Amino acid sequence: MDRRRTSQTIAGVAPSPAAAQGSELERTRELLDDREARLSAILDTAVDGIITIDEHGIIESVNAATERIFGYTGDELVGNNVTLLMSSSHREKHDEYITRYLRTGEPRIIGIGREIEGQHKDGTRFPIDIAVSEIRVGGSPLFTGLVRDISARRRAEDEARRRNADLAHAARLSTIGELTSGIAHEVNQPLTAIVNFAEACLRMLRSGSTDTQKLEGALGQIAAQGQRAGHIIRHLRRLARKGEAKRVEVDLGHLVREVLGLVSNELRASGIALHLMLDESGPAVKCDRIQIEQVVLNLVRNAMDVLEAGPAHGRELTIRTRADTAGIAALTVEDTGEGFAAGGSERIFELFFTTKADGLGMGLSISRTIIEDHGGRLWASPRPGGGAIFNVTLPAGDQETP
Amino acid sequence: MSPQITVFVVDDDQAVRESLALLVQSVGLEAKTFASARDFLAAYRPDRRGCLITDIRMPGMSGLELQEQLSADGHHIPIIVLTGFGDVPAAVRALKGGAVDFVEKPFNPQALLDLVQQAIVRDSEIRERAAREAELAERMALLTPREREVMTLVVAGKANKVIAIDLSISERTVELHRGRIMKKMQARSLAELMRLVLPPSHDMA
Repeated sequence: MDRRRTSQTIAGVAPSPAAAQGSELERTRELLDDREARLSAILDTAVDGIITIDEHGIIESVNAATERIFGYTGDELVGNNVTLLMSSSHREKHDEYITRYLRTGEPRIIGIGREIEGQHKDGTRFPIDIAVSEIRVGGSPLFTGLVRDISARRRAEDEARRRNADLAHAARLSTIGELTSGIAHEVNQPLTAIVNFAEACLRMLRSGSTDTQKLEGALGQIAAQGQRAGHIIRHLRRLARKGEAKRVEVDLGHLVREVLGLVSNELRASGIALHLMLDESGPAVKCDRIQIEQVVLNLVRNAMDVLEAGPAHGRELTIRTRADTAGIAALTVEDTGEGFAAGGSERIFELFFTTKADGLGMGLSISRTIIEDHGGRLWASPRPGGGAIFNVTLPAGDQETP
Repeated sequence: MSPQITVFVVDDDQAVRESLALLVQSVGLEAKTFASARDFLAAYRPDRRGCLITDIRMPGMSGLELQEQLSADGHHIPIIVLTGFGDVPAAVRALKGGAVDFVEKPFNPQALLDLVQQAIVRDSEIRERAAREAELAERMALLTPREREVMTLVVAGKANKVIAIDLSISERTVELHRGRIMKKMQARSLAELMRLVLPPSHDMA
């Protein structure tokens, strides 16, 4: 059944009474009917909605898919402005787009595949992808829009993004699991010191000691160690926090120093020489502070692991930050460890790739995802003279990240 | 004047080190601190009376490795180990290695001081026994082979007559040997000689 509605039929040929032209007209009409039927069939079996509008935005024709997608019958749509099918945020814009295009030839939606929000007859809004082309038939312009309901695709994308976040969180937690036992040990130190100093003070006082210098020193230490414990715990809580973190302006050099503060004891004890070349005037990046800290910590930890696994001399770790003129902030972490196996500088970013016996193989993969989410890049290259360089670039502060 | 007693403290964390030193000083003992096990080993002299408090988890040489090293070097200074929260396996190893005891950080300072006291007493006991053994060896070195033979039979409770028959010598000779043995061993009675020579039985304090 021909459900296609038009304001004009294509074949508006009335049968002529002249018998001589009769059979030819008959045949022509048959051909045209046949053509029309085919086009009709093509349009109606198309999965995507196909809508034709005039220069005022009035709907001339819709196919079956359009009816299905938006919940209207063709009769309800033909003759109405196409903005009926859009959610209010786009409605006002649409007429403007058409006028603007006609005037300037510059397309806003026209020709470019674009995601906008459509509105179903029952009021629900959903994401649609539309591509518009111009038809010139006769004198006046017509526009044809190809409409795809991408709700399912959007749901899948959101799901994937959430899974990624969960994965990153899990990796963070397991990294934190390792970190926690190290940090718990760290917290125990100030606590132990506090308890000992307090007891010593009590005993001194009870035995009538008048050594006020020693007493004062001990009490000062108690206060300092309390602060130290608080600092460690605060840091741990920040690392464990999941969720929609806001992106804030962060001084990269400052961030590096904070991360190094967490591992400074171990660096010293392992005899690793630390070289810091931090650009003093920033650079500032707009980022999720915790995530970037996580990345830097991951890179520093990896460097420490590889250095500790190697010979005891010549252990060097160099960290540089720099702001390019092109509005790029750069950070490098380099080590004098054993470097990569031939061609291995990309393999290490694969999920679950690890050379460590108890490694998870998630760190670099997660780190790369985090950096790319921020519009940056993370890659590794061999260090001339032996070892590895890990490079991070991020858009600097005033750039809007995608 | 009692000999100087020193409590040695080994811990990589400065605050813990200093607080332990002050704690020990507050009960009138001398403390000497070291930031690493190696620093301690370099400075340690076995003639210093006292005991050792050491952390287990330290970069470089760990507390357990320090314990092993001291044992291998033949030193018997009593050791108290500080363990991290929940670090039971390490504590067990330390105990098996002969530590006085362990405390888990953060610990009750009184408990630690009690252990320090125990350790100091143990250190005295070890030194006394070593001194006794050294003296015994000295005295026994003075005996002739024959005298040693006779002494073995004497502390076994055999009568002179029996010893004479066993060794095919006269009773008179046995008596002479006995006199010289008592003099060289500086024992004034048989009971004392037995106490010196025989291994201590379990019910003797």
